[in-house]
Amino acid sequence: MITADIATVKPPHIRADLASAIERSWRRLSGPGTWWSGAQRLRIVAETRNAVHCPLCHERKAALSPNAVAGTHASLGTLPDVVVDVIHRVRTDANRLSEAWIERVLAAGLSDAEYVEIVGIVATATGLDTFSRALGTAPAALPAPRAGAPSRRRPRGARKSIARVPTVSPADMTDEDVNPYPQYGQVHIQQALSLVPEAVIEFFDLDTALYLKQDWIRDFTREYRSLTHAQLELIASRASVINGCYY
Amino acid sequence: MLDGAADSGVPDGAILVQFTEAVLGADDLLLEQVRGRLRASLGDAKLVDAAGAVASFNAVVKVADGTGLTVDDFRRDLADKLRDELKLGFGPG
Repeated sequence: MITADIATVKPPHIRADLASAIERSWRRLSGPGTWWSGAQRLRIVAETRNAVHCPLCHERKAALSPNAVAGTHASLGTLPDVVVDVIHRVRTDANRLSEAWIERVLAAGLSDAEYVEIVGIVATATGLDTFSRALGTAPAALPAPRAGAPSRRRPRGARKSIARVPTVSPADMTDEDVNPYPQYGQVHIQQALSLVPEAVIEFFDLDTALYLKQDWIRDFTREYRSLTHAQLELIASRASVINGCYY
Repeated sequence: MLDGAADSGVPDGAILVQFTEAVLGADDLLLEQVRGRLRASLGDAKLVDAAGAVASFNAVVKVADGTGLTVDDFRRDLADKLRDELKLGFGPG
């Protein structure tokens, strides 16, 4: 929706590191990933945007249990039903996903790595669009897809341990793997998408510009943003409560 | 943090909480008003950083929940310690 802000108010200046991270995000989203092509990844972004308007998702969100409401998602019709369901659930009701639901998704033909890449794309697109909404600017137009084939490389050290999907611990990374941990940190949240290491880089390259780098979060000797640690954590806490985030 | 109206004691906490709630809510007019007040009182740089923090925490939850991630031991230990310090235990007595 176009608000009066978009039409009449000059958008604020975005610091250079964040503007660059946003540009890199769109370039990555439009190009081939590990399991999905650039065109497919942009369809996932478009469906992520569409999910917030889905009547079924609204009805499920309001229900005591999402499983109590049957129906069909209002989708753009460009992706298989199972992919649409993953996108809509992760975008609109992520804190009520269950192990059984993930198993059903995988049994329907999606691989665990394809699933993880979708989660990463939905999260990145959510970050980009939430930032635009917060500033009162229109969501960015989707770029043209870039050609190229997905790399289809699965890390050998992937195993199920800290999540419902396989992850790669820092110790299990090999020289052949793209290793995101030295740059972005290696606590659980950075390991979550590591079945697709490029997805970790894609998400945290943007996330650390939106918020803070991992080693800045608990460095209370200085401030890294115009808001203080306490102010940022207040926002983080309120957003996490609203989203029902246990992490 | 369960009650966004409570006084956090953080400088400018009230407007930052109102902004967070408005961004994650569905009322576009309210968001426009709150954004305008935040910008007028704190300036562009703080508006951008507040927007970034809300966006980050609206995104990272998808990663944690979407993968069914477990909480790190150090986070669990910190939470346990805080609960003890604040005497928030739910055990008998």
